[in-house]
Amino acid sequence: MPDDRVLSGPAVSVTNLTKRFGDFTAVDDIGFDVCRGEVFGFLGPNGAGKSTTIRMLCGIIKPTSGEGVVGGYSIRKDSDRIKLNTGYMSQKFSLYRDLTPYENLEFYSGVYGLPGNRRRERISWALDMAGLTNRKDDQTGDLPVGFQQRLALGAAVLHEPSILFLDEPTAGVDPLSRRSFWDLIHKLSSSGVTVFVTTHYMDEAEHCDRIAFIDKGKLIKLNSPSALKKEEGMERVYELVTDNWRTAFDLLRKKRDRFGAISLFGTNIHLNLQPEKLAAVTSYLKSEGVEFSPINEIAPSLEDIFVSLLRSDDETGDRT
Amino acid sequence: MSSSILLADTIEVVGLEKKFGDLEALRGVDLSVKSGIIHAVVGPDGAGKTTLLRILAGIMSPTGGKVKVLGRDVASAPESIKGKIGYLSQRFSLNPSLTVEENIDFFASLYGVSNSDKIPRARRLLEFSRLAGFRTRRAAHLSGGMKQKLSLCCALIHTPELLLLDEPTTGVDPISRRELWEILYDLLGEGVTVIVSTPYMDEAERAGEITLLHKGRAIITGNMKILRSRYRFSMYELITGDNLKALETSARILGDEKVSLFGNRIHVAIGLSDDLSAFKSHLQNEGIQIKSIRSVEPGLEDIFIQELADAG
Amino acid sequence: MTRLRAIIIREIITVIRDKRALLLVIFLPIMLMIVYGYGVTFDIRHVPMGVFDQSKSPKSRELISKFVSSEYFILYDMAESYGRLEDLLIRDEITLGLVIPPSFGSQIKNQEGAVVQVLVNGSDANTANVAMGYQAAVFSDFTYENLDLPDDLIVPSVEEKTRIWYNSELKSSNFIVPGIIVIVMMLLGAILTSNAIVKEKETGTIEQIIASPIKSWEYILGKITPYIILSMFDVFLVVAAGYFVFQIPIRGSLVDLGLFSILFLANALGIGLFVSAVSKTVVTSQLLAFMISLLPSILLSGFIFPISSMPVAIQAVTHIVPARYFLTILRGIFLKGVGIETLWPQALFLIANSLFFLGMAATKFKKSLD
Repeated sequence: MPDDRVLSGPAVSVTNLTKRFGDFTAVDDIGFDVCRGEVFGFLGPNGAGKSTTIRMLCGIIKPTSGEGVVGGYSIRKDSDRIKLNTGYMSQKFSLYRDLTPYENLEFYSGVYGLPGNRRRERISWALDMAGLTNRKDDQTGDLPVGFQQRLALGAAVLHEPSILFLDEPTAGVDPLSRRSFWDLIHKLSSSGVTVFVTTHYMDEAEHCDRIAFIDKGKLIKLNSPSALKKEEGMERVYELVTDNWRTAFDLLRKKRDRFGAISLFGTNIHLNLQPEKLAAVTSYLKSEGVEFSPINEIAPSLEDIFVSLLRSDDETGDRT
Repeated sequence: MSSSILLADTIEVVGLEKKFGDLEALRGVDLSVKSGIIHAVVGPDGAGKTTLLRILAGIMSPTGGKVKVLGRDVASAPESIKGKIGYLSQRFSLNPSLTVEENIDFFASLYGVSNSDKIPRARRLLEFSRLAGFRTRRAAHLSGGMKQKLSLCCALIHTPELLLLDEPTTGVDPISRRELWEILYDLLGEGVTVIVSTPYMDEAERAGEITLLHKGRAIITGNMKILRSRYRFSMYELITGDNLKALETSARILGDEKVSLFGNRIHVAIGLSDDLSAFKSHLQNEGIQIKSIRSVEPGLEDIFIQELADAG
Repeated sequence: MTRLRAIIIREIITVIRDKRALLLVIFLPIMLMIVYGYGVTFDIRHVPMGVFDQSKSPKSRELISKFVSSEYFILYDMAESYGRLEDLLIRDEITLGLVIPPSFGSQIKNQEGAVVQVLVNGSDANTANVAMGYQAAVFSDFTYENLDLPDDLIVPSVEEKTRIWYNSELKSSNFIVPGIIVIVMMLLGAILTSNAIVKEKETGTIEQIIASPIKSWEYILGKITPYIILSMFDVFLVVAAGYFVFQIPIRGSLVDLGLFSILFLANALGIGLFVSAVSKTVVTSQLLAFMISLLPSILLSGFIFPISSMPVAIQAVTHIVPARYFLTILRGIFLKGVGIETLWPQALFLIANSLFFLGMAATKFKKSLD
């Protein structure tokens, strides 16, 4: 049962959280709050510190300094309580492939210490949610990936936690399964469960209410996807459509130090520029005799935003 | 860049099948790829991307069908083309205890690149990947993005005609991912054929041609323009006062697979025969306040879902 | 408690369903028990002996049968000449040789003493030691039964004049050093090389190699060359240490030593390459390499446990253990000073065996992931 302590304040609150492994700083002084029932995304490349942060918030490892409060409990002092009140679904699912779905759920309900009658109730709920009621005795490893994913989710919430941590939950999964998985997540979130997702897949982060960008252990930015896209000072993305795309592409790339990033999407050219530079680009193309349709601004993707943030953050541009 | 680019078929695959015991990894894949365009093979895990690339690289043999790479039948004469192919496998393939420079030297020797060719080419590749300042660093101490860029340099050191990249940007930071694609764009002008496999729909949109792979079958191949034109719906992005209710209602009206939630936005696919205004009023009748609604382009994921449904 | 139970149950289910692990857990100990339990014994039995009986009298036959009827000796050959006994000793076919003088029969009948020459093959110091103990017992038994002697007199008896050949002080270092060379070679040649190759399979870096135009033999040769150099260097070290520190004799030619070592190394490499061709993981390759290279080399080669003491079935198995032949070769070179003219049968087996394994490995090494 969710604890009463959960009902006041943010679901998760992190202050000055830092984790060092020897000389290496994996998580560097991050701080943020997550509201109850929010779908909160932690976005960043591999090695950025996402998994380390989640592990600290789950109470699996202890921070070097700083504090975090999860569901009302301190990660430094009450990590055991945290484990009872949170659910965790890891990358590639941690299900036992040679056990059946039923056996897997039985195992996890044993791990969470669910008493007998509640156990039966929750297991049948989880099987139903995953669509596996009629397949509960198949071998888990033989099930299609989408089902395994939902089963893993069911296993993670058997004990009805108020906070759910998902670590790269849909990496490599087909689009339909991913869609239905996210539908489940949204249903959970609307029932009051706080969902904390880490991913390096920019597209996936679009499902979140708010996103925190993490790079090299630091929190770069925190906001909702739509707010981020409208933010001041960001690069904008423009789309250039022209029959002479190869020439245009070549020309613009040679000048990219002057203008900005130029990429190719199919035969359309995307320009990631500060809006002031747009005029320079159009006049350059005209002077080289390239004909093109009017350039539109298009919505930046989260990857565009992330890159723009990193670039303004990073002077040398060399990533080490 | 030369003005005439040979759009020859570097790769011709007809009815490719690959079985591992009972498991059918590839079930009759047809594919033809030209040089001068980046070709992406997109699909989830288990679709058969890695198997396909391995067969094209000549390191796995097909159990059925015909595969011609650079004019040679890959099943009967794999060794004859390996020297012309650059292959970047999904698993880490650098030598971790060798430096950046030593790794390039190793691959250069493996492919018989003479010193006079290797030295200028290595310099150019390293500069382009922004690794020139890290020549003496051991490969094990590079970041994920840098390792991938180095792997790409090693795959290019022998000037291959065909470049096969198996999920080169998985887990890589976005800036390195951009830089990797920069290197690939460069190759377009040199007449190299590039095939990239990826599970990322958004990344695949960068390619000149895309093949959707699912459970061992090539569902469709085409460029984004063609694929978009096949999409039978118009996509709208909706922000409402009660997203969950809107979600349920829309799903009820249009069907589950036509509706998805993205944070605080809902995407709905309205059919050509359906009416946008009718849909809007339906929602309003249910007491849902529509804050904004705008037309958006379908993404590759939407297209993929429709094509999958059509293929049955 | 529920948590503990959950884990226990899960583990039990997992083990039962993993057929390969189950097979290993049940089958392997049984197999090992049979082969090594029966084969390996510290009891020295059935020591092969040869007899050059110049007397051919009832008494000489009685002596011989006393030897033979004990469990400790078996009669390998009734030699027709001294030279024949020598030959058998050189080839390690007998551990003990009896030379019975022509007058033995009459001497015993006339209650005179007799002197029987006993030649002992010292190259396996352990067995030799024990055999000497046994034969002394047989002799005193025979004396007791055949010669009436007052207790207080030192009278003629059947004396043995033992000559320990090859290793007169029965120094164990003399026979351990060849054993160490065998182990080093198997370790470097079989276990480490198979490790190196299979590790590449495991990490997946082999994929990149297969995709390149490199030829199979170029890759293999490249991988094993450092180990070849290391092995020869190690052999050199061990021999030098043996010679200078432990003073073991090197009566044969060093050139022969080098050549035969390379031949044995080829055997070890053949096994190592074969193991790496059939193994997918390092764990499997190490286990397999250990079981078919190192373990038989230690237990079934005659290094520690004499072959003659093993049951016949196991003795048959030792015929396919390359280390057995190499040990004979090494003992021949170090202690007996012989060369290819005597050791050619051993060399022949090693050549055939190495070709067999290398051939098998070659057929399995394809430049493909299939």
